[in-house]
Amino acid sequence: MANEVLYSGLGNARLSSILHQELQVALTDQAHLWNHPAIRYLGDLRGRGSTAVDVPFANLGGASRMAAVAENASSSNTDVTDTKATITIARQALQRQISDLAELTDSAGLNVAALAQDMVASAAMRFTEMILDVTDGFSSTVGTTTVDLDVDDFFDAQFTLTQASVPGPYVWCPYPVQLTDLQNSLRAESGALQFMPATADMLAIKGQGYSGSLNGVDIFASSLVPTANAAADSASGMWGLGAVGYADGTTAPVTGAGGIVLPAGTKIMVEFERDAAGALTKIVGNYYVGCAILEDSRGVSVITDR
Amino acid sequence: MAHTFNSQQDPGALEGNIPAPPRQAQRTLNVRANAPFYLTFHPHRWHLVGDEWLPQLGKLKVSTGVGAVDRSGDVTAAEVELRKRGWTVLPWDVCDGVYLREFPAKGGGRFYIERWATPKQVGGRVFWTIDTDAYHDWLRQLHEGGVIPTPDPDVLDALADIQRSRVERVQGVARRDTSQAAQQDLAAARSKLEAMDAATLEAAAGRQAKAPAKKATRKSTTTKGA
Repeated sequence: MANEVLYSGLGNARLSSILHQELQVALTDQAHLWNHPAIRYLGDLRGRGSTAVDVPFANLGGASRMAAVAENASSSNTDVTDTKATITIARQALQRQISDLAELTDSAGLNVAALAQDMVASAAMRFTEMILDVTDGFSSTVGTTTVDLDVDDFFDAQFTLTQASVPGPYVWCPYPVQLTDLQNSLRAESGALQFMPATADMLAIKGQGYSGSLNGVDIFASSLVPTANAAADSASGMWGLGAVGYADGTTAPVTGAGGIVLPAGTKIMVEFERDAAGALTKIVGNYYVGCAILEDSRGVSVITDR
Repeated sequence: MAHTFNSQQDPGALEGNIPAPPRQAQRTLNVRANAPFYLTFHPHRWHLVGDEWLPQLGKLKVSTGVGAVDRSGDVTAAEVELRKRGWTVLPWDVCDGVYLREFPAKGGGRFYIERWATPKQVGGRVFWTIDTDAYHDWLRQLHEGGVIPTPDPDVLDALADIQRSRVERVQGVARRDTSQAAQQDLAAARSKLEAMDAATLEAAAGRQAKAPAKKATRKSTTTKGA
């Protein structure tokens, strides 16, 4: 036999490799905390005269209880104690640039549109990182340095909040290793806890982000949890409503390059900038946001082995 | 290629430059860039290490928008916010050299970490070795140098209370579950509580040892006033 048409002989008619039609996203944490009910939104600072917002607290709502006063005695003034927390918004940005040649040869979806859409995910993850960067700093802590988290550490944190009369909903954002340590500990748990459906649910495979609810505490794992104790430990936070807050800002409606109109209320501004001489398209995303601890006593930091 | 001993350079020869290493070969750590930070101390944050109480430090991240760090990275307002809540910000060179280290991070930017953490990159994965003993020594130096005060016994009691509740919980489990593991858990929880109580006594003794001078002054002032 001769002259068979073989793959090995088709060097000019076949490619060494082709690109899959769909671009795959490299492994990264994509779960974010936007809109979680345990994080207080303090409004948009557009047109408010400052990048900082002071959040006032006063001991009202029954914090000062009435006291028994005799029928013919005079009552005296009771002071209203007030404090404040400050949130300062600042610019968070991401910029990418792609050449026309890269754009026109795209067959997999890595193009201007994809880079622009990615800005929203990037903003969401930056927001999550910022929240986790403050929730490691509550003055109450539980856990033991360089020792794996166990279910008792979880209870210690939950009880700390309960004893401080912190209203729910509660959320705990562990580092993924802390979550698996909890799962490990739950496996060995006996008594009432082993029969709770939530316990069995906690042992099921978890992806990113929301990992279930244990004793009514939402568990939300994130790889963005910061380190503590010279990076030997992870410092995650468990907190209730009002512990942490954020504010943001939107820019005025503007007509950008190419006649693109960014309407009012656009939290994440994604704009394009053309460099005709270089045949390049720049994609810039801007997001103005700030976050802080509002009331320290409403949260607890869980510090255990990383 | 022919060698020549002629000291005169061939005018037509070109001298090559030493090439810069390609991007892949640069010594960058396979970690995301992060913000620099200051370590912070709070009088409520203590933890038991071995048989002594050591401070559980926090961090002030120099990250715009986080905890009142402003748009230019100025931490003044953030520091004020922390101070109002009882925190002390520790300067980088607070004791025994600078405690922060930086590494070039993959994808640009710098990665900041405490100096007691040493990275090793194996096959694209970063392994960290933490010299916890040296870190704990440094914490002791902070205390001995007067940067960090002796813990308040009431704060330590409150921390021991958390452990006391844990002992009660584990005790309940151990009553129902007679397995060796449950009994070991109980023994470990009790032993930690005992260590906490002993460390609290020691801290109180240290506090008293430092206190007499102040007390004597106060007494003599009272006497003078009387």
